Amino acid sequence: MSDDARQLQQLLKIGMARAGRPPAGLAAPLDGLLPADAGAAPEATLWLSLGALDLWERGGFVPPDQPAPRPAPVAAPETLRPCPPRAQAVLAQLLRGLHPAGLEAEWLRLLHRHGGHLPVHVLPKLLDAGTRQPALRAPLLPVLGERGHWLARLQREWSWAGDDTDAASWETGSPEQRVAALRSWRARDPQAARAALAAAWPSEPPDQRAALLATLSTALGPDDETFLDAALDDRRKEVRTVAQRLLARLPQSQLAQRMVERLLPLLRLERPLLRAARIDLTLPDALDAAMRRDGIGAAPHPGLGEKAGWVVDMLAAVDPDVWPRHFDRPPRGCLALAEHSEFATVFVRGWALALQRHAQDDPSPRLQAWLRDVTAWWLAVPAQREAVPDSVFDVAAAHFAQDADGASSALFDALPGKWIADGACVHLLARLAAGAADTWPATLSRHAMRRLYPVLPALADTGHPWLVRQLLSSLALVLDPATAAAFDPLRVPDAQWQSAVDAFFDLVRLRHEMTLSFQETA
Amino acid sequence: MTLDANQILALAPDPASAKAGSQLAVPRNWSNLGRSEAALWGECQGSGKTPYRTQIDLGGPAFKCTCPSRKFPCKHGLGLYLLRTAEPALFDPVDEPAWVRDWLQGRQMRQEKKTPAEVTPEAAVAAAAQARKREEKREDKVSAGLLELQTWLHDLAREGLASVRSRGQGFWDAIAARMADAQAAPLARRLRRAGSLLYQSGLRNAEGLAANELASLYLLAQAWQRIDQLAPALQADVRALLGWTLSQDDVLRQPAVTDQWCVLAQSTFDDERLRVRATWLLGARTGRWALHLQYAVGTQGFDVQLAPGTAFDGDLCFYPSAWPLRAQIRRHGDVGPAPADLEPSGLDGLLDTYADALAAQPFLERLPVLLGGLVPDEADHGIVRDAQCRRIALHPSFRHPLHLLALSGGHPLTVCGEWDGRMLLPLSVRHEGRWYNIDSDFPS
Repeated sequence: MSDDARQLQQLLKIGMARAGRPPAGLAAPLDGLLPADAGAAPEATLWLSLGALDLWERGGFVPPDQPAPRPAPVAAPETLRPCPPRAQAVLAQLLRGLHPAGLEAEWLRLLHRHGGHLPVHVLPKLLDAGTRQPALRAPLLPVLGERGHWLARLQREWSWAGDDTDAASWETGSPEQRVAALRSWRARDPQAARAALAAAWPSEPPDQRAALLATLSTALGPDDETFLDAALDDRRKEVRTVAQRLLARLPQSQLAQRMVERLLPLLRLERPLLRAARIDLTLPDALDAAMRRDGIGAAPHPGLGEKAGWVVDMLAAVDPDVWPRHFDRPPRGCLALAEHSEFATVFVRGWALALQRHAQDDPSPRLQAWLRDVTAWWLAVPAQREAVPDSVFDVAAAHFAQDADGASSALFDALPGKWIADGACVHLLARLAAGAADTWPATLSRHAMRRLYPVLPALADTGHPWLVRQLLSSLALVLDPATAAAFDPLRVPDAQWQSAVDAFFDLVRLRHEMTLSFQETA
Repeated sequence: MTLDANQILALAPDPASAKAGSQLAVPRNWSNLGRSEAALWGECQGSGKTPYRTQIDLGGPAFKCTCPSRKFPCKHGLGLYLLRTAEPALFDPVDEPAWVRDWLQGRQMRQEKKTPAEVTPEAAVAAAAQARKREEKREDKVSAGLLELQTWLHDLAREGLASVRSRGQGFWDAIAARMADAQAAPLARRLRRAGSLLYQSGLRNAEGLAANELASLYLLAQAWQRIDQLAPALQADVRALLGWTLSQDDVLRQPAVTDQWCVLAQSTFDDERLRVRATWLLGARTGRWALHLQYAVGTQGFDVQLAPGTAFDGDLCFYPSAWPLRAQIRRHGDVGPAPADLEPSGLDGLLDTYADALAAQPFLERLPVLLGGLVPDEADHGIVRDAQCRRIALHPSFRHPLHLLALSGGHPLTVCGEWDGRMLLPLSVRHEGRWYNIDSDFPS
């Protein structure tokens, strides 16, 4: 804008009455347009001059002179395969919210399996989605492609997808960013990340120490013990709890050793004649300072006596894999020993808590066997289900799809004939399906469908319609679509249930199409 | 040609129809599916006893369905079209059943009849006399209204924009209502908009923008007072800006321009109680631009379906103007993909054209342009740079700079947009041979 125009606009803002002056005449070459002697009202002159100058400037606009900027880096060519057009069309519908939520992550995993990268025009929307829903980040990162990483640098909120800037966000980021940076640093270089944390530890605000310390769960190893052991004496209870749990996960740690040493004298294997073998437990006498430091008795266990609670705390701090070796039988054998004991609840709860802590980040096959055996035991012994804390099934669900030994499939085969009438069982299956990290393999899906399909016509009579609906909708999202789509959609007698069954088969079919959309050659 | 799923969903009159349509796009709902060169059809089981017969003329595309919905196209039409893209194998090429054939033939005949109706000379004379009388009355009202507007603007110049600020939007609504009474509805709209610019836009230079808009209204009022001295084409512009409309027949009587018209950009917005769909067309051979406007009330859809990224052979009739842009479609022929070799212009060409256009039609606000070689700036998301690294400011109402960056990756892009003399409002982008229409492909 020229100075003339600015002055006229200023005059209009103040008003000619207050400014006490008429507008200045237009400069050449526009001066001929409004001759001053024409006797026009000064107000008219103001409006006409404004209008004329605006036209003059728009008609004669030239972009302002600017020094050429530093040449910006250009996104590198993609090395991954492009996304097939039909898969793109499916994604467009998902992003418009035209289908049940939750399919985006599966679509992204399919794209990754295809070896593809995201079409560039959806990148901003998906980077925003990943910013809002951290659960989408893991499937997004491998398919962002060169363009996605290039783009993510340009927006602060997208830094989670940007290039390697952990050290920088560790120094200057917000608390959440620092935790995230430390965690990804741990994944790359555990020693250096721990050293950085140890160096900053004395100056860290006490209320952030627990969250920072918890990042050591990534790539946890024997080298972390000294630092964690020192944190057992921290003034904050949250910090001490984190340290206790992490140390318990290191089988060679002194804390884990101490726990085993405390437990073994209390346990005795009994083999009565003609009756099932069992474990007998002697409750500890007292809680000393060393036990307290290791986290025993930190919180009460509802429904258990105080001393029994201490034993639960000790069991929870020991790698569950210790017991099959100690009693020389598989996890289900250990559970059977516990089942016949006077303290069945103590053992099962202690082991389940230990599993929950140890198996979270450790998918080793031995712990998987424990998880499956606890789940099977829970299904088989309805009377003692309360002993198992619910949350262990979230861990079980996350690993349920690993079915190499057929144990997950066997779980479905072992269901009683009337399983659909057992509300807790329906709830458990829904939970296993909802917590899955990925689509179940074909064999597992077939075993699940074989049990589900025959009960579909009788859904109206189960007495817990809400749970059954949840099971249907979770299974529709997790079953292998090709396997499930091979079952023909059913007509059921009840109209309300018909819509739920239709929704199940529609979703399975949609996912099947989604899978196929990646198989077409582009 | 068939559209892809995104283009089909863009035809939906509202998001609810889009959703319902996608849910209907499963084979379970359909029977007697079929297709021919020209059409798709099928029967959809609704809540009634007899299934709805749904058919699509692929040339338009145009939809017809026997369901009672007043939405257009209805969810069945959308569902049928989406099913065709999702599972083409379900549609066997067979002979069109009678109900499809009759409809297609009817459409063909109406298409041919769409030339303006002839009237007898006597009736024309009588109608003209009556129209002239109405016209004179209206001209008197507009003249009186514009004199009032000038007086109002004179007062505003004396008092100053700053001192009327405290009077709020009501101050602007009052003069706008006065203009509506004077049958100058577009002025009413622009005055209300100028007021809301000051109170609601939050733009840094809102007062400057309002000042320019009001000055332009003042020039328009002056132009009306001496309209007889203006060239006939510019007279048509002034009258259109004051609210005179031409009937569709009058426009279709204008000489037509035949070309392959490329649908480059489309935006749909609400204007008071109406929904307006504005579509920019570019003639592949003549290089002429045309603005096609459609209006719809409530949940009604738009009658003509123009999908961005397509092109059609056809005849357009332009509204008379000193720089004709707005047009009606007289003939809407075969639809195909937009040609890939449209030649974009550079910034210098745009600035020259804009100067020429303003010289011919000084009330022109925005000019459509296809600009090539634009690189969005990484650091300043409010600008793009042309091939010579010159800064081009983006209009503040443009909300998708990151989409531009994503498509570009630092490489030059071709953008179709509107130039207002200072800033560019991108409306669509060409990337690897595909057109991305910002309003429909990047919903905010």
